[in-house]
Amino acid sequence: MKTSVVRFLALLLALAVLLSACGQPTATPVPTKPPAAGQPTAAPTKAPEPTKAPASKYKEAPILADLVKAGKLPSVDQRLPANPLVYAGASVGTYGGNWRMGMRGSDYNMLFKTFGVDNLVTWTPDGKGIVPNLAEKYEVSADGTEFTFYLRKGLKWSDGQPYTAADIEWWWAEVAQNKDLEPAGFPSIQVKGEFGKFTKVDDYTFKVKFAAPYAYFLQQIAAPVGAYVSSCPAHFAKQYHVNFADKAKLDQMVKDGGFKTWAELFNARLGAHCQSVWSDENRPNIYAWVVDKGYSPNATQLTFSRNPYYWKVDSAGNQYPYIDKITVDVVQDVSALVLKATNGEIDYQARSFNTDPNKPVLFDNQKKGDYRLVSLIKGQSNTVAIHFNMTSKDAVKRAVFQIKDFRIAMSYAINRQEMIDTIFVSQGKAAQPAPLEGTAFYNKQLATQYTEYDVKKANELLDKIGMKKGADGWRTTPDGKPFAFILEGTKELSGYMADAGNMLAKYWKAVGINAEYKDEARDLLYQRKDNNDTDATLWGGEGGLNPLLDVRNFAPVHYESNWAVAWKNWYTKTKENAEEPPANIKALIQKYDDALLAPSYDAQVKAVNEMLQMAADLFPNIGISTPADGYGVAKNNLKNVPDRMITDFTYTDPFIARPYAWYFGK
Amino acid sequence: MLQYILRRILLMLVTLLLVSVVAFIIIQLPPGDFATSYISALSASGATVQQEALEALRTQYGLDQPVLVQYGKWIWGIITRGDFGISFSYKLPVSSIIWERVWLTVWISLLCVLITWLISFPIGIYSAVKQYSPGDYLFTLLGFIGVSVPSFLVALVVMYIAFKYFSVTITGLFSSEFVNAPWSGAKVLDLLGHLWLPVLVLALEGTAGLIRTMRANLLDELRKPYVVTARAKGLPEWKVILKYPVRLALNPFVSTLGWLLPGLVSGSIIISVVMSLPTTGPLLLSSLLSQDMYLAGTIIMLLSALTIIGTLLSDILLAWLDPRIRLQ
Repeated sequence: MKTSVVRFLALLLALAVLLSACGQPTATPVPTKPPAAGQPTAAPTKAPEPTKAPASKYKEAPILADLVKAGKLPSVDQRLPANPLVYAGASVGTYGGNWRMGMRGSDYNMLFKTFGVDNLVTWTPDGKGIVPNLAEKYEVSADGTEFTFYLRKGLKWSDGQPYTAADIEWWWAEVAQNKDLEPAGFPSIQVKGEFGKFTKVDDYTFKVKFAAPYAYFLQQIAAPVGAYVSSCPAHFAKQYHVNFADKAKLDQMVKDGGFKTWAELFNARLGAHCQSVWSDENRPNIYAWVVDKGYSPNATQLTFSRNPYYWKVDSAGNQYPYIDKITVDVVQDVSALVLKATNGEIDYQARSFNTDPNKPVLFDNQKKGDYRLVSLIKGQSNTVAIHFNMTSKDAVKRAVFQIKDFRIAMSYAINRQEMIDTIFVSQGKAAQPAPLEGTAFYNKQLATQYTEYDVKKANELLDKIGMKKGADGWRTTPDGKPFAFILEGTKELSGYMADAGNMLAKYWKAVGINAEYKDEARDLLYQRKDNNDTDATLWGGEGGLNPLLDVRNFAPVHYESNWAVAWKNWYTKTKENAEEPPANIKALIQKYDDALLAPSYDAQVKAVNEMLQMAADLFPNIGISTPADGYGVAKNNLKNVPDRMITDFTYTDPFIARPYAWYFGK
Repeated sequence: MLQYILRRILLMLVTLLLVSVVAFIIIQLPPGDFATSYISALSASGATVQQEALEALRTQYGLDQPVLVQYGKWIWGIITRGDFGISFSYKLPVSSIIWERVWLTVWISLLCVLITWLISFPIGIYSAVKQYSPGDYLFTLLGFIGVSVPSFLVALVVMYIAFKYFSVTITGLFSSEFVNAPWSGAKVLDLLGHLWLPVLVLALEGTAGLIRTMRANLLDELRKPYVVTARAKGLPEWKVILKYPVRLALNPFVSTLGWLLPGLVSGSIIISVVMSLPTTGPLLLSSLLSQDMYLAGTIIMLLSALTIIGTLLSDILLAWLDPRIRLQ
């Protein structure tokens, strides 16, 4: 209550000042975030600079212009860096408006994906390339071990403090490598167990050197992981850090907050890895919008307002973002979101409620709610990936699963078109898990081999490998033992998993393989596969756009490579249920390592494609179909929203479509 | 009386301790722990997870220790420091999360009890006095519908009708523009505009039972000789009924207070989820799903405590209301 009263008063005050100071230039602007009154920021504010009235190089939102006039904010030219990022949207927009969304429970990843991934570098809107962002340029050494970043000169945090290489240096040393905050050390900045060496060249230039070639680093810092590296305001974070804060004061804060350790306090105030910025109104950030009313477990609505120091402009020199405010209502149930969307109370959203079953009702109400549906390119490699556990504890099953002809027969036995028609409303086409067509990683063999529905071929193959039918009508193992397995999946991942699993079991029974589908709680599935107890599992096919970012279906190195749990454990040096893989698998893993440590992006693509060719020849797992486009809801007056964009955690939609350049038109 | 209350309070503490044990064990029963559910949720959203992170998480939260040790640490913290532990998913102390919601839950529940009484009391009397009249049949029918249709379904139907015919979305306690606004007349009106539906829906479930009990009890009393005597004395009919038989028939209203409370609290979980009310319900559900055990355990403990206190209060009230009842 208290804060909202304060905010209300601050608003009144701002209004009063605005009215009285209409038109007259004032002499002493205070460079802090304007709307939040009473910030206990420890650092001293920069000496105020008098605003003259020269012709401004850049233009700004009316609400900021008013604050500048009132002397509460430096002019837009002083707020922007010397070389702001210029992004030209489809059209030059107008300022203002409130972007309404609905968040399900504590799903703040939604905010993260909307505007919290403004990293050192970022993906191009089509996801195919990487472009400078916070850094105005970057260099990679020829051997791929050293990265040099040149930050935009004059970047500022949302409280007006300078954003420099020192901020990143501080995070690198004091957060990522602090044993209390990161018991295992922040993973993505380590190569072969060694942290990259950080060197600050000057305020705006720094170098990172790794023990081995690591071209992949660039993609990592364009992906969500990169937000951790560049989002930590050292001047603010120090008051919560044991090495910098006054001990008595810190202890008191820990005690007052009800925490046990300083790390708990630090994580609560700054977010794990010093990234999350959704709760504390005082925490400075570098994003397009800043917190007004933050997230707390009891919050029913979050609000964000424009960052006056945002460092991007459009082609006409207008400072981004166009939209003034973001309002997020917290709801508990998806149906409440559907209701909101159909009533036109959501301006843009493609999360939580945009499932296939909800599509008809959202489609039908477009006119009533005055919105449109936009298409989303899913980053999945397949709708369903079937993983036969080739390292099963059961020697009989493992022997069968390891026979390539068995897997081929299982693939031929599936009537994919029927599954596509019944489960996926005829969207998508038959395919194996593979990078999607149109990416640099498309491999026709991997994507399309053995996808035709051919029961005869399936039976021939099974006969060929000696799996003859026993007295009970089920095929036995090649050496005559009874053979049956359970296919495990979870509806908690996608509602259609149970349908898919049951249809698969039906097709396989038709060729004499005794298989049953079992749907279970996600936690149980995880526990069982961690213990290497599963026979075969279903999961969504990941890694459709960039296999390196999620390699689970192609090489047994990923936490969720459920087709080879024991081999994966060997690779990750897990002690239990680990087993050294055979030579051909080791070669595949080696290719993956080569790709990770490739010195350049091109070398990396080449290595990945070689790895995919090996995977194609190995044929480790089976898929059903290419994912159909997803959809999102956009109000008709919201402009510059592309009709089709990528949706994927790694590529972070809708940020990839530059929502700071969206605006409300007529 | 005082001795009785003291003994009951002692018993309450023992019951609470037992509840805490049972709650803790039940939360631990499903496979996996917070770490697995956290990781699986992350993974479902497409994020890549390292196994070391999983182990680090377990060590950080003490999930690698035996259940007994975890329980002991938790309960010791509560007894000695009033420390309910840390919520894993929110990374905040449990006590800083729940109080606001607990009070709201209590308020909504009490409001529901009040509405339940307000509806069922007059209808119960009417149904008994005018037994087998068309009005009695109508209320009986409505009451049984109220009992047999799950309340969340009623909530969904009403929400749908509001959307379809009035283009209004009734979720949460406030409209979007009022959530973070300072209190004002308009905000109170907005609150009332949102509150009536969940309260009414919740209350409906309890009314039918109470109407039936009231009706049956009153019917028993109405046929007793003292009623005839009162009537013979020439008392007006309303006085005859309200002064004697109704007072006797009141007992179930008071004695059910104890079990009405937990019923409302648990019944409100689904309604709260469906209608996005910031009560303990959705928090309990999500903490159980993510195996955030200290948060879930604390909520269950608190709700149990409220129930036990409610039962005690209703017993005391009953003794005060009806001198025939002896406390032993």
